[in-house]
Amino acid sequence: MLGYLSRRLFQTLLILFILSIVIYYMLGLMPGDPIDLLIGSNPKVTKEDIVRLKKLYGLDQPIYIRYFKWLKQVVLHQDLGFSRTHKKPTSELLHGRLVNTFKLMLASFLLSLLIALPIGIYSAIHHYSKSDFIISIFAFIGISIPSFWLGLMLMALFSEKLGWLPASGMQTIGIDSLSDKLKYMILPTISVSVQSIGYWVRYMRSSMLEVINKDYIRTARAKGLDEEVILFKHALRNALIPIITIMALSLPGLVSGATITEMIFSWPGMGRLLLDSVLSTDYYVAMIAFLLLAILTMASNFVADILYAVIDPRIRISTHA
Amino acid sequence: MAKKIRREIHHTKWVGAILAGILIVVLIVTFTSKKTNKHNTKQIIIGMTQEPNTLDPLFSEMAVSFEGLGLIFEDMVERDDAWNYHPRLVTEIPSFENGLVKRLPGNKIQVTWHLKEGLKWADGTPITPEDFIFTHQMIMDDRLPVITRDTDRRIEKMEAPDDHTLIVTWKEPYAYYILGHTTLVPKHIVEAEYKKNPEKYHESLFNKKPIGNGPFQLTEWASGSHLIFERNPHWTGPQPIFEKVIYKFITSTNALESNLLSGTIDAISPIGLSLDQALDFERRHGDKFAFHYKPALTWEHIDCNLDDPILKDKRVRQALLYGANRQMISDVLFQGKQQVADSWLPPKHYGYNPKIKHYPYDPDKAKKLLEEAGWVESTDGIRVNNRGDKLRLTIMATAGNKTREQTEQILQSDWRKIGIDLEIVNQPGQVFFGDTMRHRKFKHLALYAWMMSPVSDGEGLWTKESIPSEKNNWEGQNNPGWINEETNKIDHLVPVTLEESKRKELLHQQQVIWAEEIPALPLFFRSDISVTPKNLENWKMTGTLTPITWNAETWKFAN
Repeated sequence: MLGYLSRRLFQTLLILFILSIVIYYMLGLMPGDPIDLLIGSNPKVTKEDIVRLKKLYGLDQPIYIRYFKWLKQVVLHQDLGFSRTHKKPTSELLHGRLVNTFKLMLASFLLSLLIALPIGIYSAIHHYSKSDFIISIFAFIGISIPSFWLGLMLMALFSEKLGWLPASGMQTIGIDSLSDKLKYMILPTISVSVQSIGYWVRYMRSSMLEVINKDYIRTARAKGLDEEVILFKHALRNALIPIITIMALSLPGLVSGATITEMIFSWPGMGRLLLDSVLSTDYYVAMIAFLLLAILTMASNFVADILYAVIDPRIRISTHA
Repeated sequence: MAKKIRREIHHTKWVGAILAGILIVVLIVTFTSKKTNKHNTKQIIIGMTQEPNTLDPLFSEMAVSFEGLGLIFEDMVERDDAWNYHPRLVTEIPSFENGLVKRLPGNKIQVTWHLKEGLKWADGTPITPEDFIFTHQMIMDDRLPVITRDTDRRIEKMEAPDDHTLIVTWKEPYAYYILGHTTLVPKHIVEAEYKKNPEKYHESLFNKKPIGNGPFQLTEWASGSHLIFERNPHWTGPQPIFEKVIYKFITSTNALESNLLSGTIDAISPIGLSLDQALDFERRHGDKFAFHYKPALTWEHIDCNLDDPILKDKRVRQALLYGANRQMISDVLFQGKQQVADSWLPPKHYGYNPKIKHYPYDPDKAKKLLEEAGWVESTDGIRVNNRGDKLRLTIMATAGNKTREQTEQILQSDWRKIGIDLEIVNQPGQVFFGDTMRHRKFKHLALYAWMMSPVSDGEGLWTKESIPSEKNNWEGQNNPGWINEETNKIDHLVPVTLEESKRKELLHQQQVIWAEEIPALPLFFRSDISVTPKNLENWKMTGTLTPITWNAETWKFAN
C-alpha cells in the first residue's frame, strides 16, 4: 500500500511540474502583459513609467527565467507570491476563496447525492412506470437548464418577488449566525446542483437497471432473499462503481463550473477568482488556482480508486508495479 | 402481489422522506432568519459591481478605489459637481493674484500652500507639510510600483518652513498645480514599514487598512463581500450625517437590481449599471427609485488608422462622419441620454470650442465627398476607385460589449447606404487593448473610449511624439497616427501655459483644425448612472474621476 501511495505521489508531482510549465508558458503567451493593459486605461503613463514598472514586476525578463524564479520562490521559500490585482499575498487570497468554494461545492455535492441517488434507484426499480417517466422528464429538464439562467430565475422569484431569500453574497452585514449563512447558500446551491442531479439520476438509473437484470440478482431472488437485501447489499454496491467515477470526476468541474454561479450570486469563490486572475493577467494567482484544480482532479481520481476497493471486494489495490 | 405493493410503498416513503427533509431544512432556514432589510436611517448601503484592490492612495488606479478614497482621504483642493475648485485642507488656492504663485528664474514657478489649523489624521496625529514631502519622496522612489508620476516628476523640490506651510518649486510652469498634491499618506504610520523594506512596501497592510484624514474611516474590509466606513472622530469638517457608509460588492448587475428591490442595499453606485441596463431598470421600476444620469467625460469614438491609404484622405473620414446617424444611435440605444460628441473635449470643459465644424447626419453630403475622393458607385452598391478596389473598411471593438456591438451594426447599415462595406471584427478586451491598440494593429477603424478629465489638454493624445511605435516602446495614445505641425505646437504649449484664458484660446485653435481633419470620429460622451432612494439628499455625481463620495458627509435621508 505504501509503495502504491508513493508511486501515486510521484506521478502527481511529475504531472504538476509539467502542468506548471505548460500553464506558465500559456499565460505568458496571452496578448498584453499587465503593464500593457494598464497603459490602455491610463493616458498619463509615460515611457519611463513603462520601463520602471516592467522591471519592478520582472516582466522585462524572458519567460523561462520568470518561470524558474517563480518555481524557486514557491518550492524553496513556500511563497506563492503577491497578487498584483488584489494587493494581497496569493496564499491568503486563495485560502478564503477555497473555503468559500468548498462550502458551496460540499453543499451542492451532498444535495445532489441525497436527491439523485434515491431517485435514480427508485426510477430503476420502477422502470417504465409512470413515476419513472415523470422522473426522467424532470431529469432531462435539470440537465438542459443552464445554471446561470436558473440562478437568475431563482433570484427573481425568491428574492425580488417573494423576498424570502437574499439575492447575493454570503451573509448579512453585521449578522454572524449559522442560519443566516445557510440562508445565503440556498439559491447558489440549488443553482449549481440542478444539473448534476439530472445527470446523476440518469446515471444511477442506468447503472442500477443494468445490475438488477443480472443473473446473480435473479439467483438471489430465486433463493428467496429479502428484496431490501438484494437491492441494497447486492445490486446497489455493484451499481455504485461507475457512479463513483462520475462523481469523483465531477468534483473539479463543480469548482470551475461554479464560476458563473459565483458571479451571479456574488459568491467570492475560486471560480470567480480564477476567471478574474486570467482576465487581469494576475499570473501568481492564476498559476496557483490552475494547479489547485489539477490537484483536485488527481485527488478525486485517487479517492475514486480507493473507493472502488472499498465497495467491490474483487478490486484490490496492487502493491506491485 | 401484496409484497410488491408493500415494497413500492416502502420505497416511495423513503424517497419522499429524503425530499421532505431537504424541503423542511430549506423552509426552516428561510423563515427563521431575521428579516434584515429594515431601513436604517443612520447608515447607507451602496451596491457596486467591483471591489477595490487597494485603498492606499499611492497605488490606487481604479475608479472603484477612488469611491472609497473619497470617504477616507480629503484633498488639498476639491472639485465639486459643477467643476468648481474649493480649498479643503488649505486656507486658499494659490494664484498669481493672491501672491502664492511666483515665477522664478530659469522658467520655474514656486507655489505656496497654507494648511488649515488643527488638521488631523484619523488616529489623532496632526497633519503637517512633512507628510506631503514624504509622500512625494515615496512617489519618486523607483522601488515602489507607483503607476504614474506625471505630476511629481515636474517638481524640483518641496520645503516646509513651518508646520503649516508647504512650498513647492516646479521645474517648469505647470498649469495644473491648482489641483494640489492629491496623493497623501501619513508619514508617522508608513515610514517605518517603508524604510524597513521599500521593495515590499506595496505589500504592506496599509493597502487594506489605510489611515486617512477624511470624514470617515475604514473599520471593516471583508474581501469579496463589503467595506464599512464609520465617522472619523478626528475629522475637523462638518460632522457626517450618516454614522456608517457601507459598500457591498455585487458582481452581477442582475443581483444588484434584485438587492435593491429586496431592500438589501439602498443605492447603486455609479460603478454599477451600464446606461442600457439603467434605462431598462428604470422602465420597470422607475416609480420606486431616483435615477441619476450625469454627462461624463468618457469619450466614445472611432480611431481612424491614418497609415491606411483609404483613410489618409480626410474627405473619406468626413464622409464617414456625415454618413453616421449618431443622434439616432443615441436616441435608439440610449434614449437620447448619451450626448453626441463634436470634439474630443466635452462641452463642459473650459477649452471646448462650440464654433468648430459640426457633422450632422447628411448622407448626400457624404456621397458627394466620396465621389470627390474618387470612390464612385458600382452595380453592387459598394463604391470603387479607378483601380477597381472596393470601398471596404474593417471596424474593431471589444467583443461582448453589447452597446458597442449595436453601435457597430447601426453604423454598418448607415455606411452601406453611402456605398461603404463595413466588416465587424471584434476581439476580447485583453487582446484588443493589450495587443491590437497597444501596437496599432487595427487595420482601419477602432471603436473604444478615452477617459477625459476637466484638465485634459491633448498632449498625450494628438502630438506626433505620442504615436505608439517600436522606436518609442509603443508609448503614447495617438493611435490614429495623426501628424499636424500646428496642433503639435499647441498641444505641447497648453500644459505649460499658466493663464487659463490663454490655454482656452490655444485649445480652441487646436479643435478647429482637429474638427476639420477628424483623425478620430467622435461619437458620444457617456453618462454616469446611479440609482438611489427618492428621499436621499445631496447625492451629486460629478461626471469626472472625482468620486460620488466627494460630499458624503452631507448625504442624508429626507424625512
